[in-house]
Amino acid sequence: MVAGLLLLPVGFMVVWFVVPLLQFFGNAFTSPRGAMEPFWTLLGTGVYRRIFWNTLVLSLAVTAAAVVIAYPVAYALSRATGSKFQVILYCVLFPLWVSVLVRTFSWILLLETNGPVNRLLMSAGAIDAPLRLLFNNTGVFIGMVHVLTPYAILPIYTSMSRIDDRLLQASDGLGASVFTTFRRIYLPLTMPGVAGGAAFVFLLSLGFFITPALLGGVNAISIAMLIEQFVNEQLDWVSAAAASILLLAAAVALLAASARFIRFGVMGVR
Amino acid sequence: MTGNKGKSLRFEGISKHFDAIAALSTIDMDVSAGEFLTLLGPSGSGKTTLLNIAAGYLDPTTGRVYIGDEDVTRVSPRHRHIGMVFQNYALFPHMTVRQNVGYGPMVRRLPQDEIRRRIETALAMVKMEDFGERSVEALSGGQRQRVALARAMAAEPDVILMDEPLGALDRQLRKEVQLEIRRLHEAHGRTTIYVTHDQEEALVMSDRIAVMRDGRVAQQGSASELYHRPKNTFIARFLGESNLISGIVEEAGNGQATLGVAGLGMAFRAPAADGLQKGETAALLIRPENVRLCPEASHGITGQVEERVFLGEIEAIRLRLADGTDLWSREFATERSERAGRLNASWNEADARILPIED
Amino acid sequence: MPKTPLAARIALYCVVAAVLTFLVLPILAIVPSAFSEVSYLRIPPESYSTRWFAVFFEDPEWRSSLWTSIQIATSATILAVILGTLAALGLDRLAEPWKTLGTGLFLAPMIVPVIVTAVALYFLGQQTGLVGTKLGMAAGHTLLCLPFVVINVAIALRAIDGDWLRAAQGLGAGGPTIFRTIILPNILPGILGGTVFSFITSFDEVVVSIFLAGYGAKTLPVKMWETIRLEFTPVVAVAALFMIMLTVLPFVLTRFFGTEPGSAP
Repeated sequence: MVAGLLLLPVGFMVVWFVVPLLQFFGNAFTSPRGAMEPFWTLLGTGVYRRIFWNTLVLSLAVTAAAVVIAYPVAYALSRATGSKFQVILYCVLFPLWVSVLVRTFSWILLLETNGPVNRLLMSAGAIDAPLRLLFNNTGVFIGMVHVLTPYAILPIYTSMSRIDDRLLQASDGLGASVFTTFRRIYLPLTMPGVAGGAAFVFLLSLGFFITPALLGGVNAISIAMLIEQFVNEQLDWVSAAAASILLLAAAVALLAASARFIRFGVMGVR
Repeated sequence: MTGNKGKSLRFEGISKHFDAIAALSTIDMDVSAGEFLTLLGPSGSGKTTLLNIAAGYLDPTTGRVYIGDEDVTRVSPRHRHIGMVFQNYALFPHMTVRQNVGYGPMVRRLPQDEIRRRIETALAMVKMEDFGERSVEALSGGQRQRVALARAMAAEPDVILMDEPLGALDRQLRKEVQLEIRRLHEAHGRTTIYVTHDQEEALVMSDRIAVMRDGRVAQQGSASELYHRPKNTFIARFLGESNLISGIVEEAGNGQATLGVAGLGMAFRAPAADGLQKGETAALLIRPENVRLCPEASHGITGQVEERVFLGEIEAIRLRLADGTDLWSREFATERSERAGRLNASWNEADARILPIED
Repeated sequence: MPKTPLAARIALYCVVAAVLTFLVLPILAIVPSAFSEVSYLRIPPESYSTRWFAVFFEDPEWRSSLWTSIQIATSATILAVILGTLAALGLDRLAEPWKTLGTGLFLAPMIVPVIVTAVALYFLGQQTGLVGTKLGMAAGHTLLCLPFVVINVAIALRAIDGDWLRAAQGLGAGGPTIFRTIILPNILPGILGGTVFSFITSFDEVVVSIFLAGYGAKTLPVKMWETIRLEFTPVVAVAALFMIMLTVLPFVLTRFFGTEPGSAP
């Protein structure tokens, strides 16, 4: 009975996911210059290393920023009731329903030299000349934080909503100040959610394509853009596969490391 | 319901092993048609396992189950015509009361008016006629319990199986529902196997009780039999309050025995359980309600009143005996009773019983 | 939580309002641009007209890309719901360690970076001639939508008490009847949630679509992607507006027909 149910879905996954991935990865080892050669090239060449490094640093920065601004929103969401809750929730969910392409597109319009952000800053006297916010890491950073913050809010909110208020009351009753209760009781209890949100955002950032491509251009190439270049411009399937394997390995390593902190309560998988 | 008394049920050589653990070892038991049998025991005694084997949710490792004359050991629960009432009721949350109660008949594709008749009869029996259209979510624990019972009844099963159905109810409600289930059984008369760990409940409701322990039937019989003639100290302690005085068997035979208690310097004669040997350590059982107290006398057992417990209509008095053991007495409390100091305890020889010791 | 000082609460309120504005406003800011009169994009537009809507609808490529998106999203959703529900039902009955492994398999598309999946499918597609076909595109989208359905249905399944099934069985119901009368009604909300998530995911999907679109299966996001890099006119804003509307609409509908999002997944 179980087999009957799973036959079609598993078959589908194998045909359209497992096989294509394995086949594609297989390419990485078919270089005439040696099975592991592409990997050494990627990791050894300065150009590529800069791209990996850039993507890594950017992802870390985006993750940090996203988590920091997500935390207060998640907190407000966990404390809100009734219509306040609905409003905050919809504000968080609305961006998630909109395509990353649309969201990134809006930042192109906002961050351009004559765009509203620059005009606003100039008319407020904060700057004299327009800032270069597009086609560099700054633009990519802002765009990615915008896109990814909701993904951080939800896991943090979930862990916050599970905190038993009585723990906080106990801390208060034992004489702790609000700050101490926050630091010693609340914050640690939210850490699994924060770790989960951070891991998810970081994972997504590493593989991000659309936002760096549109907002960063040639000045801020991400690993994903590199892979795309290998495929579309250089027709270099070997390097594309090698880079993909490295990216996937980084993602899996990240998940494995953070799995200690996260409970995969979604499917009851522990 | 129809005058159907249900069918008899028999366990023949039933045992159940989960990997290395023996949950049940060699159960042979007969439940007559129309009887109310309670499986009584502490948790881990195997009573729920046995019930699930009766229902067919578990397969026995060895042995057979018979319902009526039919060997149903290999038959799935679906086809056994049993009605099970679960501990947490297991009412279908997305259906109304009527839909829940009518589920069995509906699934068996009975004609519409028969389904309606059964629902109405079942609801009337548990006095929930007005609740037909309610959602089960809105019901209280006691109400849900009755709907669960109605649902089992509407299927007109050969045997009704109840797995600690009153566990989630508070004390007062539990007592009311116990009596209701008892009355209902007298009305519908279907064979019922009831599982509980509450000995009071077992005493109130059952025709017969089977006390289970560690996967075996420790003793079975009527409530009166088990209470007045337990086979060993475990059964004695499990049902009702007891005083157990240990000693050595001085002689035994013909349903009687003499127990020598060195610490008190006395020997007691009383009816005895089977299987006692001379020289064996055993215990004298005397129920607190049979212990009579009177002012100190030169013979008999004397003790110092150490504790008095008010239990409403009854007062329990604890005497400390010469060898340090406690003896409890229970008597109707009157405002004027002043039990204090040293008192004499005595009882009718026929009310005591000498038992083998079993923890 | 003990009473926090007023100043702290005001500060929190301001911060939260600022972040929420940051999240929502940029998206809404596109809307006026769709009504711009001139051919360069600016927020806010200097003058308003609806001419770019006409441009959108008169261009066969834009029209067909919208239609393709709807077709693909619908077929991918149907496929994902069927496969995903079967998968969730099957996984529910598995013992460990197969359950964890199976779950991992179906959630993997969410973990493997989309670019990797996209390129791998492109590689397969080139060999099998599926690039530029709606079949290939639908398959790719189904792959990405499956995890959402599986998660939604699995959560609903977990809420089903095993005793209900045993009770139904004891009352004489067989497997198919139990599924129809007990399991299905209780997982319907999960299936519905999965359907909505699927449709939106497919409609919004960009990366895999870019690679698999070829010439014959350009979805609306693909057409937008190409246009943004070539001619930067307000017709893109019109397309963006449609995308926002068509992905927000299903959720607005579910709101009005009872299923509240409640708490986060």
